[in-house]
Amino acid sequence: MLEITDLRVEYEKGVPTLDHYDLTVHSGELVSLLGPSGCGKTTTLRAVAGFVVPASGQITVAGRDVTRIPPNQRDIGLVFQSYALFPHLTVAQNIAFGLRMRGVRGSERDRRVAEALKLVDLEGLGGRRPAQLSGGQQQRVALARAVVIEPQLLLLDEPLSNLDAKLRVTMRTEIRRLQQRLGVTTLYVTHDQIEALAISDRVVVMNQGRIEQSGSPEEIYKQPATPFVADFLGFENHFAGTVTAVQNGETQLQAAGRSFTAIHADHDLNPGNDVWVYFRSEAAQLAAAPAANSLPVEVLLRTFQGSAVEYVVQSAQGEFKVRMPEDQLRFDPGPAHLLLNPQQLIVMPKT
Amino acid sequence: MRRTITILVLPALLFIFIFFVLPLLFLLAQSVQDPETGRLTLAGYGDFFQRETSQIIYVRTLRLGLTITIIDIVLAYPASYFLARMPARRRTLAMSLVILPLMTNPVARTYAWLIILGRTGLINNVLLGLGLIDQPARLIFTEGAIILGLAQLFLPLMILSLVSAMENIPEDIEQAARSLGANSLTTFLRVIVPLSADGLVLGATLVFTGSITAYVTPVILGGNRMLMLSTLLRQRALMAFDEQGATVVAVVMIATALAVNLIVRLFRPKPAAQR
Repeated sequence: MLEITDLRVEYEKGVPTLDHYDLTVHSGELVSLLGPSGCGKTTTLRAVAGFVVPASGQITVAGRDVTRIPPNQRDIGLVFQSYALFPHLTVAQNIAFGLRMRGVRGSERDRRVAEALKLVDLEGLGGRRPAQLSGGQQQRVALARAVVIEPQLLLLDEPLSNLDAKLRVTMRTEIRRLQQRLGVTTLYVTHDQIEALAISDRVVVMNQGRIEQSGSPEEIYKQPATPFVADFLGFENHFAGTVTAVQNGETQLQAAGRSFTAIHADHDLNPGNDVWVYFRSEAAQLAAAPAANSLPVEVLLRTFQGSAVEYVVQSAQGEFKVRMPEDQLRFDPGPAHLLLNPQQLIVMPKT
Repeated sequence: MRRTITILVLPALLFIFIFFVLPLLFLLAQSVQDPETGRLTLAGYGDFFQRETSQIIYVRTLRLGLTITIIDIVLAYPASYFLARMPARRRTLAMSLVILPLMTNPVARTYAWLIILGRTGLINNVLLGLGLIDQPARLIFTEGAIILGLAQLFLPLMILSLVSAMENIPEDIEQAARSLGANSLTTFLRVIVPLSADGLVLGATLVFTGSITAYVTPVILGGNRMLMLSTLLRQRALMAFDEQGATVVAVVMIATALAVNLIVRLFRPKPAAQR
């Protein structure tokens, strides 16, 4: 288990990258830190690894306070975006490095190196040099090297960013399976929302050194808690409104003279609150006639995208993107009505 | 394409041939020619390797070269690591400071050593003033003086070679070693040193060959009391007027430097192919 309590990290003197930062990763859990560059996710990872010295706060790994302990005594496995393999050593020697440092020798070491090679499907490649391997193979060596020492905690810093798109998907599954098989507590840093959602038990969205939201991938995807999370997780559309009534888990809204109903609204909202309403392009539908939860729009553009068709529409609330299955009624530029699914309207207070 | 390249390189090749290769060949020819009869003879070399003074000087030259190289490696490694890990902007400035000694006039630079090491130099004055010695100690015209002067002269070369090799070692690799349980020293020995071996070999070759062929420093700091090959050459040529003897020394010196380069090239560690 990893526990970070009230951490403050200053990169440049006096300017904190992280402040009052708390994070817990439970035993065997895979938590990803998701956010744009500069949000502090890598700094968090580097502080946990011991390469950044925090100004204050505490980091414990498996109950041991490691805040002031040098990186080599932290018992943490680290995987880098650049793989960071030792180019002068063979694959087997790379994997053996951590065991060697721990005084594991002879047949025991050979056995564990062989096991690790098997674990990442690289049997028979132990004698190669890193430069003779493909990017995916190199990253598997890096993984094997990090887990062979059976660390208390595994840290992965954008491990897939140097791979091509297809390989990224394969490797992501492999990493997840490996992590589950070993049951190792893992902190995973990425800027790729799809990757984070696919691989994690829990996703922590970060922005400007703070945690915006922490939750299961489903929660993060469906119920963003802040405008930042909604934007980062790809909610294409939003408009401003005012709460008129809250009852039975339903929120009634008023926007540009029209009323809407939203079903999921986790926030404590009261009538009169100014809110943002977010919805994904799939959460709306074009229709020929008005209905409940609809607003009049002007279709500006229709783009065919294979299984779906994307429309750009103009309303009194602004421009929206709408994505509908390809087999639905076709709308050409001109007036129409946009139906909003009350289940998929995310309401959050304007701050 | 090929022909154009040949034409482009031709002037430089010709220049080098006429003003470098040709004179060397004359030198070589003269060293195996009897000065009186003009016949082919190896007597000059026999004389060189049999005479005790030239043996002593030859061994001394090699020993000093080795000592200077080792001193520079020991001094340069930590400094180069520090420089290679500096932010790029500050490193540029620091590197120009490292190179500065190479750009000062060699004679002026070496005379500065006299001010420090001479009979009435800084060190002797201080030691005398403190009453630690009664008479000025001999610091100049010693092996120590030559070592000091040459180690200082060639330290920048070693640092330059090492820094350029270390710059290419990503910090990630070091951190990987640290996270796997290596302390700073182990990381240095097992990761930094092997990955900068190319720079080490280059620097050591430059310093060693530079040291065994250096002239100005041994002349001023070693004088006629502490001869090296280069100063022996001067003595033979300008004081003893023994032209053949001088050419023999010259050929031995050049051959030794070439041999060292060749041996190092043959036995240097295979560069780890990166990426």
